[in-house]
Amino acid sequence: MNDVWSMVRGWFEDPQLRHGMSAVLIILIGFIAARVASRLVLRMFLKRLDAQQQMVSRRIVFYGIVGISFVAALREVGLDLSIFLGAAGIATIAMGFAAQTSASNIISGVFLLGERSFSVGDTIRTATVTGEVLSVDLLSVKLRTFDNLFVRVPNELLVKSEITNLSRFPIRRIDISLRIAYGEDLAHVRDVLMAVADANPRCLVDPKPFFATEDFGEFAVLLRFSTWTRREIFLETKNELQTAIQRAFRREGIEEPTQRRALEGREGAAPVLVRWEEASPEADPKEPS
Amino acid sequence: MVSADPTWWGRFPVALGGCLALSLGPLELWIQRRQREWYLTWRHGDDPVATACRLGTGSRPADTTDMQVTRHALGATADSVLIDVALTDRPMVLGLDTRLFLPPGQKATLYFSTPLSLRLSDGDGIPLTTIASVLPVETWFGASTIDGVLAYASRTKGRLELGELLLRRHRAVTAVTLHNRARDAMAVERIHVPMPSLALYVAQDDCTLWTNALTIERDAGGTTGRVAVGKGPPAAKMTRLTQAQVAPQTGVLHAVSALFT
Repeated sequence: MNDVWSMVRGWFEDPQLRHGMSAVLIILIGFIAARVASRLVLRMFLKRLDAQQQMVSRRIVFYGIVGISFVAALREVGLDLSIFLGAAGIATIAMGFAAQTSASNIISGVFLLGERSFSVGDTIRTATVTGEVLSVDLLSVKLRTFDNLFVRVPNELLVKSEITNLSRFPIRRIDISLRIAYGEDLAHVRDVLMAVADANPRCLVDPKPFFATEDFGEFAVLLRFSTWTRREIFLETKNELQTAIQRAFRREGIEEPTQRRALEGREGAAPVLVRWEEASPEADPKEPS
Repeated sequence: MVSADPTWWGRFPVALGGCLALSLGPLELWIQRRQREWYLTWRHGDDPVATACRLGTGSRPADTTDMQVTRHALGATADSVLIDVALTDRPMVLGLDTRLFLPPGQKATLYFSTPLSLRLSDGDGIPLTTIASVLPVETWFGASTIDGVLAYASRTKGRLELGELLLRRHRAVTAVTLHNRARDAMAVERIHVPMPSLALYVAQDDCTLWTNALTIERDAGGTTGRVAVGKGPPAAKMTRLTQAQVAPQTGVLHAVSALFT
């Protein structure tokens, strides 16, 4: 017992070991203080800041305090920080070559935060993925897709590519493409579609629903019907509308287009022989023997 | 005119296993009390001018297809249910059936009614839910699809005579005075009414519901306007039923497009 005690006393009497332990203690206290302070800041400004600002302010406070405590710990062990400052220039050049991608991602992250094209909680669409923004980190943006997958997109990629923010504005337009047989009365179709939108309380009265003839296709008239709704219920309303349109078309007898071919023989041409055969059960190769 | 039906808001006793049935305009609501839960069933009818106002004991329909059903679990249900009346939680955009022109310097008061909501609470004051008496239709009101507010839409004839307005129990009457100070005529198609900024009053004689009066002034320049919410009840012998949900903005200049179009 006495041996252990004298060993511990020996540690405290050794100045190098004492400074080392003080440095560890400073880092430990700094780490705890950083956690407490970042949570306090979050609580103080919870109502004033959005999710993105909360995340950034929490990190600034946390890493700021951790950084300061780290510098204080280095001083405690007697390291001259000016050496680090001198080495920083060399390290920057070295890093520039060795970690180009990481550096680019970090700088891109700063641009993304500054530009505020999106923030935590928004739903964004990139060239390859659509999802909710979970966090904007040092190197990448983390997304959760609608099928509950975790996707990491490097910041650099987002800065370079086109991003669509689906959550920026409170209302969105629903565009529904339709194909109608040539025999249908377009004015009647328009009235039916307008009645469908009118009957759905989720479709906004204003901006008004919009009906347009897009094109006269080979077998059908191509139409576009657009109506507006709140962004939170976009998909739900779109599904409701599509179901309601199908029902309304059936009720009103509006025909869906089918592919048709007309064969016309020239005058004086030889008659074309058409043979109509009905498949017999015996001839059906899929029929079990 | 309003019939001599009793008021539909207040505290109503419900026996254990019993059911309170309310028909209010197009809304049909059944409030069933169980030992540890309130069982609510309701539906909105298709008749937009329904005038029904009946409250009494009843039984919940067996077939609840196309009905809304919710359950609200409590430790133990109180022996009564509280029904509070409320204005809509969003502004209301009233579209006039016919465009109204107000010549320069003229003033006109329009009367219209807006649907109310029911705030249901357990007899001990525990909030249950809020149900609109008329299924609200949503709209957007603003200069563009970026700049504006979500609101509820309603059509109105914009009566200039109060006597012509069909008074219904599930709706509150608002008087809006339009004042055109500009040198050209003011065309009004839609009016933006800040419902959350209005208080609700009940007339002592016939129990009709009213909100504060509103005054909308178009300034001499014609590009800006000012909306003022009247202080106190719109007429004598009225008692305040609910306070405004948000404090009304006073003396704020708005773009004319933010008040009416």
